[in-house]
Amino acid sequence: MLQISRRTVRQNWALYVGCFVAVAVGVVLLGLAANAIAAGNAYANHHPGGFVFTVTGGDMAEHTERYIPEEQSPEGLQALLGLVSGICGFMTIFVVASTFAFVVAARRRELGLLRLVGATPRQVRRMILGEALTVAVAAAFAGSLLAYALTPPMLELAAGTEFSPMKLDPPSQWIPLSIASGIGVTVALLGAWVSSRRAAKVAPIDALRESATEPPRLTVSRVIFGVLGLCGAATMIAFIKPDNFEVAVTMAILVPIVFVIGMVALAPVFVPVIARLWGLVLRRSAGVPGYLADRNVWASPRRTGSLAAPILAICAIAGTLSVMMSFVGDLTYAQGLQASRPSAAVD
Amino acid sequence: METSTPAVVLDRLTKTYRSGAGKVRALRDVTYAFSRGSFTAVMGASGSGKSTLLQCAAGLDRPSSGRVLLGDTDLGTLNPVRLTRLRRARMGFVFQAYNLLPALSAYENVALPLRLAGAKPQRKEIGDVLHRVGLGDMGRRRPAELSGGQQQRVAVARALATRPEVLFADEPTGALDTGTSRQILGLLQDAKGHAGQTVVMVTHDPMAAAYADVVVFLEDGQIAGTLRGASAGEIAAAMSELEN
Repeated sequence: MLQISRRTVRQNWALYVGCFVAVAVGVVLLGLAANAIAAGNAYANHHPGGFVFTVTGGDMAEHTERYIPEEQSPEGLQALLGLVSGICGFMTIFVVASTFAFVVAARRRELGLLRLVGATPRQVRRMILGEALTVAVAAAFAGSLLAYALTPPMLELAAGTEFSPMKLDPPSQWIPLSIASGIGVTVALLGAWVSSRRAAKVAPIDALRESATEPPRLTVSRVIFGVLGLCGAATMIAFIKPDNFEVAVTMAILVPIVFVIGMVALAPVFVPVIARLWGLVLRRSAGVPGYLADRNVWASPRRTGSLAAPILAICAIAGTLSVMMSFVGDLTYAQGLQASRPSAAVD
Repeated sequence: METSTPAVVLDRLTKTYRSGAGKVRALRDVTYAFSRGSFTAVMGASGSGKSTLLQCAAGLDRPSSGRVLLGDTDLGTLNPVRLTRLRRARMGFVFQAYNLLPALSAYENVALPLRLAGAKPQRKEIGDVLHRVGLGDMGRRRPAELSGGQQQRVAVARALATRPEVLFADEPTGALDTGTSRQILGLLQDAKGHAGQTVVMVTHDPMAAAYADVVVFLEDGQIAGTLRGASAGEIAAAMSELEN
């Protein structure tokens, strides 16, 4: 089945571009985070820093602990990248899920044909998962290469900022990038899981049904997700007044994610409209190809929507990040104000 | 394989659909036996129930009542997975269009049912079947690189590769010109000569039906008559009589 999966992906690659981008971006960020952690650990092993103190009394036996003050630790960078890749992983699942929902819905007839010539439901499911695997492995590879190239400049940039006070050396990247790739592939398979189950339910007789046209623009679940997402984001912004850093950070992460889930669910409705407006410009300047692109975008709203999904997801991540950065900036400023107070003494 | 038992038996088959306008009775109490090694054409106007008959006979659709026997096996007693295995081992299918997986080459399409069954298809075996349908040198081409007639021939080759007991064809020449149609019908006729394969073909074209040994006429979900060894002219005459 894997061979069929590979062929299908190669022939209809345009359908899977969104998926590829989402997984690749996810792996890049995960890879950077994993590399930062590895670099930080390597640094900590060579430069213990801080000071060791002995704990006596209490419930535990006498032991030593090491205290590392914040200005000697690259934890800020690790936490930031970890957070971003967590969000990204979540987004990737969502983008992959929406792509494969479309891939399965648009290929009812072909899946029916497979069942007809003797594929069992399980084989059909494996084929869909195989497509996800094919895309994800290629994307993980591309993402790893990019992360490999980006790690030294990232560490360079972070050095001396509040994220990482010291200059970290790029670590051996094999293990961190393998872990990042593994997670990327797993996430993609999780995203395709529901659709693969739906694909397995296609009946052989569907191969004979006449309509092989695009499925409807909106399904009930899309409307539910869309309305919940948009209303949820709006409610959070309107009613929650963050009064401490934790709540603010949680909101900064949640609001863009929830908002984008709503947007992706409703993408088949509004993306073609936006694309249409752009298409009006394109038609003037790009002649017949522009005209055809315009008509295609309009005729297959779900494909258009699934292509736009990763871009929406990337926007959400960028949004989360910029909000986070401004919070961190404010916090640093606030801490600066507090610096005049005497700090706790350690024996 | 005993030749005495029919290949496919339809036993008081009834199929009722519920549609917006109420109940539609696509098949009413149809009983018929397709004898082994025969080529049967099922004819009728659109809406006569001929496609439903084929789908029920092939186990693609469940009848509302009545039984379908493939050899000694009652299709109604099988679960979906066993039905799938039975279909890939003992049945072949050719339809009007969209028979092939677009991502696979002609060769791979022909080998697909065997591979799905977990067998390792022999290069020569598949090559022979492709040769038999006159596409010996086109195995590497994708469906998009083949003409409509060539695609249908690949579909026939795929249906023949598993050596099924029964080959079901639904309007196999519906989208083809006369010359190409004749080639496909010749191949179907040829199939019954090989290992006693049974062919059941649904068509509305008297010229196509003339290739069959027996023509069964359907009207309003019931068998309205049969003809044996009739010419295209005789079949066309019988059809127009039915319609009036």
